[in-house]
Amino acid sequence: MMMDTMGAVDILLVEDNPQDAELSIRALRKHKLANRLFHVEDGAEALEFLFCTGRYADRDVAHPPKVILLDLKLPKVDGLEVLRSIKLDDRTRFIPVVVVTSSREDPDIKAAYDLGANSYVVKPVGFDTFSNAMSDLGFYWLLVNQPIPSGGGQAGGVS
Amino acid sequence: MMSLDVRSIVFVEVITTLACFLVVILLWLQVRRRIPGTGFWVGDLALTATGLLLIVLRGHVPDWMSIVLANAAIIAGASLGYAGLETFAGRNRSLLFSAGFLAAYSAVHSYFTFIEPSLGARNINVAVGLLVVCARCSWLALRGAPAGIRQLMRGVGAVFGAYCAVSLARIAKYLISPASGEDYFSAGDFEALVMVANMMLLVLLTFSLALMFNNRFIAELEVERENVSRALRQSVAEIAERERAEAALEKERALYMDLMNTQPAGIFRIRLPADPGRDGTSPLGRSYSVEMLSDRFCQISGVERSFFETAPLGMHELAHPEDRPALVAKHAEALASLKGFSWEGRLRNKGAPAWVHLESIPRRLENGDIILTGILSDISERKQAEAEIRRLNTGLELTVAEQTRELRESQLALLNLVDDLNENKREIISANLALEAANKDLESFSYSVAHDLRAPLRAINGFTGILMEDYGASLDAEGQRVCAVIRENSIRMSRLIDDLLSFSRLGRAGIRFSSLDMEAIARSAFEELTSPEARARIDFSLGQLPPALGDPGLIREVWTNLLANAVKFSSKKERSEIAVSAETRDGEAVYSVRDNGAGFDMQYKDRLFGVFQRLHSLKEFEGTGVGLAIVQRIVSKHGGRVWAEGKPEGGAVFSFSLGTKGA
Repeated sequence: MMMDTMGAVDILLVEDNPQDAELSIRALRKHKLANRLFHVEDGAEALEFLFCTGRYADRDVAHPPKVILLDLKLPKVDGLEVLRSIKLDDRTRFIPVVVVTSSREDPDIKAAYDLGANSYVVKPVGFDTFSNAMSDLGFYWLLVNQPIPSGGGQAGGVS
Repeated sequence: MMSLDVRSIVFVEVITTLACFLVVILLWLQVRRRIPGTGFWVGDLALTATGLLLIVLRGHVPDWMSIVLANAAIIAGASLGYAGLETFAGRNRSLLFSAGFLAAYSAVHSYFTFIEPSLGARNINVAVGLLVVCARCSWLALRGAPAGIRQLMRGVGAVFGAYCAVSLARIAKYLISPASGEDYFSAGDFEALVMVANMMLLVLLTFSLALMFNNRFIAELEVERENVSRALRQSVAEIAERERAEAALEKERALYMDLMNTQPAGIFRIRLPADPGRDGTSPLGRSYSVEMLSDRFCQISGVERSFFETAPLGMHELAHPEDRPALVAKHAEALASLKGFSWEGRLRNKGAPAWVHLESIPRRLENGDIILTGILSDISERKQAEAEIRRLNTGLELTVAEQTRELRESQLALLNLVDDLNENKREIISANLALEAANKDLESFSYSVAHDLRAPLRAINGFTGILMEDYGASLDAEGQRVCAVIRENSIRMSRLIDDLLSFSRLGRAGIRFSSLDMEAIARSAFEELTSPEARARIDFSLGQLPPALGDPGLIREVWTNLLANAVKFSSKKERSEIAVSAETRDGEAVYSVRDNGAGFDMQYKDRLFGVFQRLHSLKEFEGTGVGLAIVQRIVSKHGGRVWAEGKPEGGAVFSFSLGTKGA
């Protein structure tokens, strides 16, 4: 399910639970939405990917994902921290971020919206509802939602 | 021709003068104390009489006596009269002038007696001398004296005026026809007439003097009478004024006493003599005397007034033995430092309030005595209220403890799912801070439970789903069923977690009381629970429900749970019957939901409201067993009760009560 890190990415999935990741990817793939999906397992890696540093230093920052699916409970750098970094940086703040988490009890819902999360979705327990939710998400953000025209939201622009 | 014998006339004059002298003496005796100057007149008349007597004796006594001394005596007497008038008029006496004048007069008279004897010259000298003195007298009486006194002296002045006239006549006569010869006694008719005139004038003078003194005397008496009566009037007025002042004082004192006796606190004032006195048994080493005690003081103390007048220790004797040492110590300290003190304690005598408050200020008088003034209040009610507050506080603590216990119960329930809660358990104690901390812990714990328990459930469900999708073909019917059971149970587990979390959230939720339209809430809860199709097979009746006081969200949850149960447990009947009703009794409203469903066995009624307690199998009725626990928790948080009645297959009635006061 990995793909060329240099190329264009539609979905950046930030998820530390491999089963959740697998279920998500399976649901998206079933609806042909996972072709250009990139999965990272912790917050630090997510930031490296987005800002093209560390392991992803050779990536082009000018190719941001169309949507980021972000879990909040993450090892190393936690989800809210990742969200803050994304929304504070002019190069990344226009990328839609969908917070995907396990519980509606989450005290961080308000914090997530405060930081500029674009959507907040609770992962259902039931397999079918989970699949449907994920594919709905994919459809919406990849096909229905209209992003800022390429380059418009990026400080550096494309040379 | 010699018709009048001058010597006889002079002799008669002597007699007359003596008579006048007597009259003046009598006058003097009567008025000397009141009217100044009367003594001079006695002297005047005495000298005049002496002078005249010496003249009568001419020939028998040496000439210097009969001529010079006699005339000097007469002029001196007249001068004394002038001095008397001056004194009467309140003037300074001009004795020096009179003495000088007398000396000059005597010198002239001696000259014309011994050196160049001339009766004519002597007569003129006598007339001039008398004229001068009488003129002075007349002028003083008619003009010189102060106006008020002058009025009294008018008669005297007139007499002296007449004297002056006689003297002027004599002078004129002597100048026109000087006397012939040296014998005074044969001086002729004119001189005899002068003598008679003078004699008459003397009598007139005596009369007018008597009148003058008399009038003055009467005037003074009048003044005195006036003074006395004024003084009398004044003292009468003073007495009346004093009586008025005393009456006012008495009135004020009565008001003061009334005020004192209507004070809620008793007022006292006692005097401790500077000298410690004989009573060595007093803890203060002094006896005391009661200056003032209000009735209320005695009332609060619960003893007669006489107690304080006779008991050597007063208040100290009344104090409860346990509280007395403090009173004695404070009292002694106050007397030593002269600073006010207060004491709260119990009185030991029956009838008195259990608790009193004493407040007193000592003040040292100049003589060393100490005055203790103060108030005594009955504070039994306050003490009772304080005890009540303490009792209520204890009750409050119990309530907090109860809530804490409930919280702990819910924690224990969670512990059934996971087992790492022990460390927090002890921290949840009655104190609010600890409770808050515990609530926070619980919140994050709940979140962790929700988050972390769901992930594996999602995996179980999801991967079983994958198994069925990907390998469903190679599974037989039993394999398919097992997969379905796994998936069903993971969903059920997830629902249990949700219910449990909402149950535990209830323990933390605060209540915001407002007036609730129970009918509207029950109706909307029912309509939300049921689809139109479901409603078609339910006979739902909603009676009149009184408004209640409660939290809108939580009470709605109560209705939702009870109605959901009614719908659920009556769903197997051909037609469901659900009836909501209420009645008000003893200031609370009791709301009931009745159904015709599966009912329950009353022997399990205590288990109905426990968490995860179910009386029916899952196969019969879906459910997690949390709904009624939530109902009970909400109702009891509102101060109400919840109970149920039913019998197997005979339907059930669930009732709860809520306060309606202020709703």
